[in-house]
Amino acid sequence: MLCRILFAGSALLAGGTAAQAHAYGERYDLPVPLWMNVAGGSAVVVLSFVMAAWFLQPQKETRAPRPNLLVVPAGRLLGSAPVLVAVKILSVFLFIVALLAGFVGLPDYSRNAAPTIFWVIGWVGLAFASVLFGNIWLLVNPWLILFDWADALWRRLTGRHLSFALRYPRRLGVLPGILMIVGFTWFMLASGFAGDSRSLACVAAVYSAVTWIGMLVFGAPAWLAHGEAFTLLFGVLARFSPTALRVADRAICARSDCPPDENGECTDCAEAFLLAPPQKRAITLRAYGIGLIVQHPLPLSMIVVVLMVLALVAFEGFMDTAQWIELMVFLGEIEESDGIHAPVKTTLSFLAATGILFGLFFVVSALMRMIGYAGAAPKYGTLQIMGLFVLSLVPISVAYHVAHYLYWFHTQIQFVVPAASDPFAFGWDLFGGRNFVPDRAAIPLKVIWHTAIVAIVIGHVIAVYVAHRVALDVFSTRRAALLSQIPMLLLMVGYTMTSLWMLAQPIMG
Amino acid sequence: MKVGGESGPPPRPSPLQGEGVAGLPPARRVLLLALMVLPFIPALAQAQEIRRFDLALKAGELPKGQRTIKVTQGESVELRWTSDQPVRLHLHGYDIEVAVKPGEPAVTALRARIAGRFPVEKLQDKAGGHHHGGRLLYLEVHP
Repeated sequence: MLCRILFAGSALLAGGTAAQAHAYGERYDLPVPLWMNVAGGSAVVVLSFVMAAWFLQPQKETRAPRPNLLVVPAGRLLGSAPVLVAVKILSVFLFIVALLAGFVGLPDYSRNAAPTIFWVIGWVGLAFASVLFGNIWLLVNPWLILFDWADALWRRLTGRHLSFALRYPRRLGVLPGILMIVGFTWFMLASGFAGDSRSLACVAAVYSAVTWIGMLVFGAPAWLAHGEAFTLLFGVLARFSPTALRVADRAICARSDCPPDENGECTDCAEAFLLAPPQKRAITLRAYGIGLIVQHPLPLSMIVVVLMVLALVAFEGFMDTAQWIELMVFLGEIEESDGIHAPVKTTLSFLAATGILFGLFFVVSALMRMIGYAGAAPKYGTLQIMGLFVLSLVPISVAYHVAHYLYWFHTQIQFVVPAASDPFAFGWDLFGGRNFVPDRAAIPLKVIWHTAIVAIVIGHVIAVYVAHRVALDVFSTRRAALLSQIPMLLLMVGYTMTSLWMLAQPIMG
Repeated sequence: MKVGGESGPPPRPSPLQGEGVAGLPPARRVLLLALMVLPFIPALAQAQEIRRFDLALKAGELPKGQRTIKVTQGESVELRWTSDQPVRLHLHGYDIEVAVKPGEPAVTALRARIAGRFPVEKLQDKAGGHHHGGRLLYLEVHP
């Protein structure tokens, strides 16, 4: 109720005095220079063909051994109970500090801990970590940790689990999660309150309530896997990472809608991993991007989630361009001094972007199916082809995410220093860092530009590789597999060029 | 001019200051001169590198051609403001604020240490603190 009043109040204020246009934190990076962009773009086109030619050679399948990281000494130490408990306590501590800072603290962006903890560490930081290391969200998710603690307490008191354990309606797929992601996108990109610590705490509180109710009704693993936005978003990104979450239990995998492979194992299945007893779990190493090669098609609602991740990162970049402002002005919005405030049109545009991406990808998948199965009996329908190939687009969006956020992240993460000393912006100076000013030149802009371009080229190459590997599995002959990749290659080059184009645009608004 | 006396190899005591130098072979004389001037070259160069921009606000706006200012990283920059109305200006990133009034020009002076694209905004005083009231220009500092 308090939140509703606050929101209504903020909405009125936004009409009168214009809140900050930026979701959170300013970005002052210069657009990537043209020559770098042209070089990057050319590299992308050339490498696409080099990759295709490379796949023309017969490949030798080598199965590298997969050591379980949970049993090697370093892994055992990292996975030991004291370390895990310490990590969980830290996560819950940060979550509570952020909520308190939002509700009680003064709304000073550069000191209040709420935006730094939620946006810099919790969103962009965890997205980077998911890509670089693996699905650590399953470990640090504060909603899960607090629910588990409450569950343990409840069991001690009553002997029963803290859940109605209703069966989650499986035919809904991850629809509740999709709605949560749309809500999150609205709040982050469209609402105009994302940088305001009080609104942030309100939204986090409402989100917490929904998440805990879902866990209470359906049990934590089922709800997290279907209705928790970040388990889904970070889960998609973590498939790119070099660590695989494996569950060696056919029954648990099947129960979690994750089809087991020939060894009866399933990989990167959050629900199964949470359900499985410790001795059935393994964390294994793999090369970056290999986790995106799937043998079973993703269900429709999961395809939508993956496309939303792609649309989200691209859309965020697009919102910084002058073209976005022109589009909104064309749609009848007024450009204010600090940008455009159009929550409804922004959210609808995001949905439209997802829709356009879905449409394009559907057409490409239909073409792949047509070319790949020319003269042969189709093994998969178009939707299944989409479900098999959709993850191959993830490396490009991961690369764009890195390119887009590198500059922002290296300045914003420095706000941890003042936020730690004065988390509620009351004027405290706990560690003497209250007046610390972030160094915006900590990483030179040239380094950031080069990293951005290199990341996008590498992302593109991994994407082409993944799609080719999937094609070799899906289509019966090598020739068919290679030909089928022409439409996919065009889509990828288009998506990559769009990313490069956005990096070359000055940041407006 | 102790320098001349010290570095001249044939020590010829002389009350005249110039004689120490005058007594040196021509090549050394040039070298000495160069050594004396050298420390001032960076300072001179820097002094020349101050990039001044005269920005005249009319009714709180700048002419279209002045909405982006490009400088190179390391340069010293002066934005010299005049305005027909009182206004407070804030350069983002460098976080420099100046107040300009009619007849009272103000200068935003900085060394462009950080590369990037930084907006200059008008601040407007309202109840409950200031809020940002419009972007006047972007200062682009290129590496």
